Amino acid sequence: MTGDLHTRMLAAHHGPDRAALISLYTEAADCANDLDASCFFLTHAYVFALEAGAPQARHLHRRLSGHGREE
Amino acid sequence: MTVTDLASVRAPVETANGLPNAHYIDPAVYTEEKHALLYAQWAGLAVGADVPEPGDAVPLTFLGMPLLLLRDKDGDVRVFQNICRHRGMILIEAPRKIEGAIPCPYHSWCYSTKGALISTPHVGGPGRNTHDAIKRSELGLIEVRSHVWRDVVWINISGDAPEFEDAMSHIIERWREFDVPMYHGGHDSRFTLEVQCNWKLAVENYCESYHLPWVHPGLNSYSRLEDHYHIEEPEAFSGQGTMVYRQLTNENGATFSDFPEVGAKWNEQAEYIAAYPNVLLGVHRDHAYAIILEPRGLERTAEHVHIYYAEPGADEGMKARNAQLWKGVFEEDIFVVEGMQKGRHVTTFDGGRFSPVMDSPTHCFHSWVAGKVEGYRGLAEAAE
Repeated sequence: MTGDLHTRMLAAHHGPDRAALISLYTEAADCANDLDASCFFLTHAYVFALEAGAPQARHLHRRLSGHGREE
Repeated sequence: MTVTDLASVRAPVETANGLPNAHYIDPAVYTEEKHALLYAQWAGLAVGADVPEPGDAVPLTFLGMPLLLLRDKDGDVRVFQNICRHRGMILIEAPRKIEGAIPCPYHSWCYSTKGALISTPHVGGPGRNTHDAIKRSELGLIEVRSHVWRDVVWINISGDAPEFEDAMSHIIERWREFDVPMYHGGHDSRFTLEVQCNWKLAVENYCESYHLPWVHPGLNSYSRLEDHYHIEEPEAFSGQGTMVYRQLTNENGATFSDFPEVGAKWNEQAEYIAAYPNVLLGVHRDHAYAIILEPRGLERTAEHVHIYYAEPGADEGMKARNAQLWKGVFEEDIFVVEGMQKGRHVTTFDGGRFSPVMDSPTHCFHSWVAGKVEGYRGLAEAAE
């Protein structure tokens, strides 16, 4: 993860800005270079999407399920 | 363990004594009554108007137990234990709107507004959100049995009381004519009075009309003692009614709208009933109210008052006046219940005697308390 992404994540947590958290953690998942790390970030994006009732939750769930990481 | 002698409480009103002092000042009896009178019955917790819209969530503490009142996505009112099934962490600390799921603030296990466990992040290791040992279908929020009637959210914590409609059948039937839509008056139609007394004293005072001419002299000009009658349903409720209810009017002579089709019987009649254990209800042709007694300790009670009308758009000024009128009446009762609480520290007080004519609704409540406590003690003995 780049330092810039990390800084933006911290700022989003500080808000908290849930929309930003969903997109930033999705971005981190897309940048990760191994599956476990990617699913770690996807999980966070998914939880923030669930909490917000955001439409991205469905897609994030599908990605995690596809890797056998979510029911 | 304190064990009080309740035989004389169950005696006929002519010879009965009131509940012994320990029922007002002894922590051991308070705990006993918590189980026998409040957990095992249908107790009032809140009102539906506290969570008017889907997703509204309000954390409450009932006798020390953290509960969560919420209106789910389909509009149904539900009560849950306000703790995560993982480590028992409090889920919601302050009233708020649930937009989607309810995440635990500790490890983010997520629940739907219907209580289903829908996500368990990293439960099988980082990025692995499932584990064979964690069966989500068995780990939803624990729901407390609840029922909404007259907008009061009644709960049965023990889970084994008869169905609400059976337990409350007599009062439901008695007030069948008032089983019509009613609308909370809004911000100015809710207020809370904090009183330094055991919650039962608020019930006892509410039950009877004997005190009205002395404590509420403002009523004497039109609502005399002889205009009132007793209401008694042993093992269920007691209270009083009046035959001379007068509607509030504004400067133009306008009144609140009547509840539809309540019938001519209620033109000047109104009733005030304590639905045991802790809900005080009143009905009139044009408004109703509910008072939830929240026991905040052995000698502390909060009285949460909510006033309802037949239409959502009732006149704001009149609603404010009506709320002020009732608040004044209820405030007049505070010195009485607090005075009786202080009196319970006189060690030789025998619980007092009842007027056989005027106090039977209060005796009805004492007898109910005694019966439930004795029944609870019997169950506890049988379990030993």
